[in-house]
Amino acid sequence: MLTQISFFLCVAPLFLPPSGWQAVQPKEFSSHAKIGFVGESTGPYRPSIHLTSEKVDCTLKAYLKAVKEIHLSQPNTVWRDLGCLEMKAGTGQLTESRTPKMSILQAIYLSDGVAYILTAAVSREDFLSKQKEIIAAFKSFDLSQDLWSAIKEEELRVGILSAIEAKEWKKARQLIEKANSSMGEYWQFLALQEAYGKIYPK
Amino acid sequence: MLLLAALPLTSQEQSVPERPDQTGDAAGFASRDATVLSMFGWGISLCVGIAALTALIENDHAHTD
Repeated sequence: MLTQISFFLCVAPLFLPPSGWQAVQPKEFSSHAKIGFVGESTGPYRPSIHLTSEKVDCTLKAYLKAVKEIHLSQPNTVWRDLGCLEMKAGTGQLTESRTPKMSILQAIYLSDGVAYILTAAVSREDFLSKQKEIIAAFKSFDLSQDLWSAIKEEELRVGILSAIEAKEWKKARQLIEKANSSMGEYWQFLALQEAYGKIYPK
Repeated sequence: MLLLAALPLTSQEQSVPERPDQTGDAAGFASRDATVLSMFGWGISLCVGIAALTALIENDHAHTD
């Protein structure tokens, strides 16, 4: 069983999904991803993007080799290493696997023994039109000290932390929604989840 | 209906065989999840939007209280 991000990380991995894509959480989603985003399409498959991670004890080169083997073990799949990708967090690697219907792009970044994988799926027919915004989302990937330090407006950050400390869920939620315009929906979801967990611990 | 009929085939196409965890699994599972997301992306069994997701967070905690 892979361990979820929050259990072993002190940092918060963040990215900005393409503008206008909807936050979704299918019931069938595996435990490795918390939330995904889907865009519009004229075809039967909507483009999607989500973030996962796993602990690793190897180099990026060795990790890519393992990823390649896993993808090529699937029938009718072609896998390619597309080279380096500059992301906010640093230099990652861009890969692509193709099936007859879908193209799956992955941006892989290794830091402090953790592999972060941003994965986007898009139909072959939508690939050219969606590629640019998917790559832009990949490039926005960053590692922040924690969810709250990523907020640049100090007043807002202090307000959220105060609301959490005072266990005022509604106020915390309102302030997190206010911060969403600059932080993006992926951050918003994680922030709401963390705030709720702290105000109403299980 | 056509989408539902096609789902098992495509999911199988992207599935990762059951076996002990190994390096690269997160990327393998991510590919499968991304495909499922794209296929389910038209609103079947989805909780859509941050407001709905917030409600889901609240419900999730409420059920475990």
